Amino acid sequence: MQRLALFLTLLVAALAGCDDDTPKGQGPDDPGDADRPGETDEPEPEPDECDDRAGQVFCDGADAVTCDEAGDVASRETCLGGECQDGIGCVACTADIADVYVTEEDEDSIGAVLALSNPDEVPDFASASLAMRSLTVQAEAGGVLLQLPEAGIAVYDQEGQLIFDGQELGAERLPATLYLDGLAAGADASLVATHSREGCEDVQDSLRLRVAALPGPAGQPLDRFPHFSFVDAFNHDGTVWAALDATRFPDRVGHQAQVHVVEHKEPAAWTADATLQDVTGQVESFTLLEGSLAGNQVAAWTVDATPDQTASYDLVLDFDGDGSLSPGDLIDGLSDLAPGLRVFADLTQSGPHGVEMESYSGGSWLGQQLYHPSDIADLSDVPIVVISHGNGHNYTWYAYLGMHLASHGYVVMSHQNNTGPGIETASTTTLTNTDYLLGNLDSIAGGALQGHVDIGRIVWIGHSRGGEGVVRAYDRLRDGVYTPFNYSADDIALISSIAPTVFNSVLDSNPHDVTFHLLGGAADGDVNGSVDCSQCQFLRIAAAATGDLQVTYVQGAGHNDFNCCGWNDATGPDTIGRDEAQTVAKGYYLALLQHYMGGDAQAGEYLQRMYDDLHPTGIADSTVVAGVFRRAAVEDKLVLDDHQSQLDPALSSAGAVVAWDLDEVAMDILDDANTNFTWSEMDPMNGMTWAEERDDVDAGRVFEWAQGQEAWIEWEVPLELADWSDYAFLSFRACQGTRHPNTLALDAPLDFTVTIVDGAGVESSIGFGAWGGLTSPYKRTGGGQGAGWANEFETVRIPLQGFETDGSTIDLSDIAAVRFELGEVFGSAQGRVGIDDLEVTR
Amino acid sequence: MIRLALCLLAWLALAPSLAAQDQVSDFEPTAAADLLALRAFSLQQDRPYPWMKDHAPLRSGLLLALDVDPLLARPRQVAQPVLYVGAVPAEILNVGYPSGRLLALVPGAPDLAAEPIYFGAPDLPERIDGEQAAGQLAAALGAGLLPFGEDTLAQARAATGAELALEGPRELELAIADFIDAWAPDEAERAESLRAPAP
Repeated sequence: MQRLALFLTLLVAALAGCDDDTPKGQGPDDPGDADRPGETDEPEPEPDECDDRAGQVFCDGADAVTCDEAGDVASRETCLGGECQDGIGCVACTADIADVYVTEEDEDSIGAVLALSNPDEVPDFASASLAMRSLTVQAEAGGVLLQLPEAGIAVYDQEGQLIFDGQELGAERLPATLYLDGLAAGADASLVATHSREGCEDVQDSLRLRVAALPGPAGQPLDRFPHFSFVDAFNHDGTVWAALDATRFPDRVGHQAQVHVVEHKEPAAWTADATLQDVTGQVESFTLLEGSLAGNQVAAWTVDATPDQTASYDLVLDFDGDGSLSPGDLIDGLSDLAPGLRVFADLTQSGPHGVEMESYSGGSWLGQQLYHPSDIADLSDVPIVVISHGNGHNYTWYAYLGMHLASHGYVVMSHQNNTGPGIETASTTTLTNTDYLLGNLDSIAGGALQGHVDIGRIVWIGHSRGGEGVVRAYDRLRDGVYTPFNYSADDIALISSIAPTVFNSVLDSNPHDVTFHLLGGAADGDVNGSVDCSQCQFLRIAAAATGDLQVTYVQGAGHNDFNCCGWNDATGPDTIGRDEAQTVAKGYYLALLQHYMGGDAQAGEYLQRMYDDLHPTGIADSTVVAGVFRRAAVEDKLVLDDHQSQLDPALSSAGAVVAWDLDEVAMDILDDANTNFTWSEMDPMNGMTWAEERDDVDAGRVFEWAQGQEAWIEWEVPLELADWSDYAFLSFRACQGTRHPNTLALDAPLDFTVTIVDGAGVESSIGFGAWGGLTSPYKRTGGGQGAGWANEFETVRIPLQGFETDGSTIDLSDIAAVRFELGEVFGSAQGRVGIDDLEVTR
Repeated sequence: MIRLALCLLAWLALAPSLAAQDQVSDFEPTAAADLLALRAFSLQQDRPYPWMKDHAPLRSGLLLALDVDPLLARPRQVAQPVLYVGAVPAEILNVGYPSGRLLALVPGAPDLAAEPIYFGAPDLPERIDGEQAAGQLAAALGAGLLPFGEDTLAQARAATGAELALEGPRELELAIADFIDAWAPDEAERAESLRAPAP
């Protein structure tokens, strides 16, 4: 009975407690506790839902209840617009894209700019991701749906799996790091992350994205707009600069980067070790500022290498400053194909290989002198250079070139050349001697060459009659009228003619589409290039070439300066002498071979950039060279005006209007109309020697402007040629008009400004004088009154990205016109100019 | 010797003006100054003769050592005066400049007592056909050029040995090297280059 009474008492007390809403400790004193030793007299807390959930959050229907550590209810919140999850409480609808270089506020305005990549250069994701942009996507308690830009940007997860548009990343994958790769420049687009949980579909975050070409960042400053020249080839005594256009990469403004120059590594090596092992001795830092590119460049490395050091490097802007290449950094050189930059030894100096020389004869007219690297046994696929001498010369006279090229790893053979009878016999001995060499590799030089040369990469160099002979030989191969035993036309990879004669029609001595180079001297006293000698106008052969073309025209060089022992015929002022002429030859031949045979893209810059901008360091400062470079006709290029498809000066070869504000514009084949260099208004093509009234077709236009005059000439760009966005250069070749009064008055290199205009009328202008001027004609007398020899064409290649500098809004996908602007404000105060081959090229 | 000296003086006087020219225009046929040596040879194999258009391969010929105006001998890349023996362009075997000692080969057995040795109009020998060559000979004769006299021919023959009986073109090339050594020793390097051994 007592037990029952006690139970009833407790039950009543418990029920009373359940009815009490008063929090524990806040109710009236419990008389029953007052007697426990050490305790206050406060009442015992009422039991509640937190009693067993101290420190937890749980859901009570739509309410989130937070329990404190004492096991009491700390808060209760009704979840609105979301849901409650045990352990979390009210869950918000959130989605977030975070990029370290873009603040939340700037995500939809500036956004992230991705450097345009080339998947061909970096085939694997692990390597490529080092140069991608990374960002983090997250959401609370749920996944995200990703909405990707339509094209031009690839998005990967951390494993390199491609993310597709509309793909959901579940909660278990968040937060997720994504890698963005810019594949094609285009209009801005957005990456959108939408919270995928039911009820959160309206919650999104987005990041504006842009893909921008990353010129450089290696290069060198210019003294005028576009302020910087992004180039990849540097001389051993040069300085490597880095620059970044804030208008291209506005997301980086205010951010600091460490500028590292490191030895070039292929992408796989970067993956293995992304540490930046700087070679400069002092890592420069650089903070991208708003404003002009002129203010965003830094001297990264004063090279100061010895003249025999050629090496490849990459340049990295380490934006996160972690000392390694990582996503978000910008790199020049993450590529399987080419390094970011290359520092060249003096190309005129001997190379690292010892050279062995041997003379032998395979019979009548098969005398040969061979130069090969002493370590040929360690080499493979070595190209073969064949030298065909000129009339009255000897095959032993080209040791300077044979030794030089062999020391750089090439096999060179100079042979007896039967030039006396004429060009046909010369071509025959080129053909037979090449055949003899290839057919006797097992015995020549004791068989040292066997298995180490590449008979599919033969270079023919010919001098004077031999210079025409090599071209004629190739023509015979191409026409199928001569069939060697051991090679074919396809194996002739490059032909170079030194001051070649032009006895044949250029239809018969025709380089066709082989890569062609011509080396000539303005002081040549034999094949002198004069307008009174059709056999001497060697540039006609260059004009007939349809492959890649380069011309190296050296002021002050005589005909026999390019061999050891021919009579000194050099004619004119400031002759440079045999040593200097051969220095030029050695430097340019090495560049030519390294580029076309060695696949060295950067070596090509010696042939493609203006001489004043880049040339081998061993050439004397006083030596003047004019260089022509023209991309092969079959290359994908936009020919705005080749000047020879039709000869109406008011029309371009592309069929568009050419207009001008000039006194006169004349157009004709590039052939001086008379037999002297004397200036005459009756002979507007005075000094031109690229064509003759026979089978030659090369044409151009000429114009002039006087002191105090501002003038222009403008080519309309037809719609089908308006999209330049996939091209790299606006290219043309130009010369000063010899002995013209304006040329004589100027008496200096000439330049002017090139303006391009887009479909919306936006203009951007570049004065090409930043890279160099058109040479003043060599002041040789004879051939009429006055001084000045043949017109010296030079190629001007203006990088298209230069027109976009500093936020120019020029639209390269919609170019409407090209305008040359002439006069003191735009360059030279006066001049007489000839031009040709206005093209947009890769 | 006096003729050679005169030629050198003429060359010194003319060199600057001709250096600026590209071709010798209005060329007057000019006789070789002297014939110093001639030697007949024969071959057992054909040897091409590309110094005249459509010329048949040769099996015999003469090697000649001449003194000529150095300016005419000076090798040039553009068309230069062609050395004829009668109505056949001769093959030039050396440089001949600045010495004026020019060595030549003429196919067959020309009658040197009847045919002058002279420089005709500038051209490429491989382009010259029989008609053109005959025209050059007519011009030479018209200009009063004469063959060398019997004495000169006899001395020239006496200056060398008997007819060379050679196997083929390579042996002829080696014989030419010896001829250069003998008659144009200042061009020994050229002779040596012809003697390069088999590999």
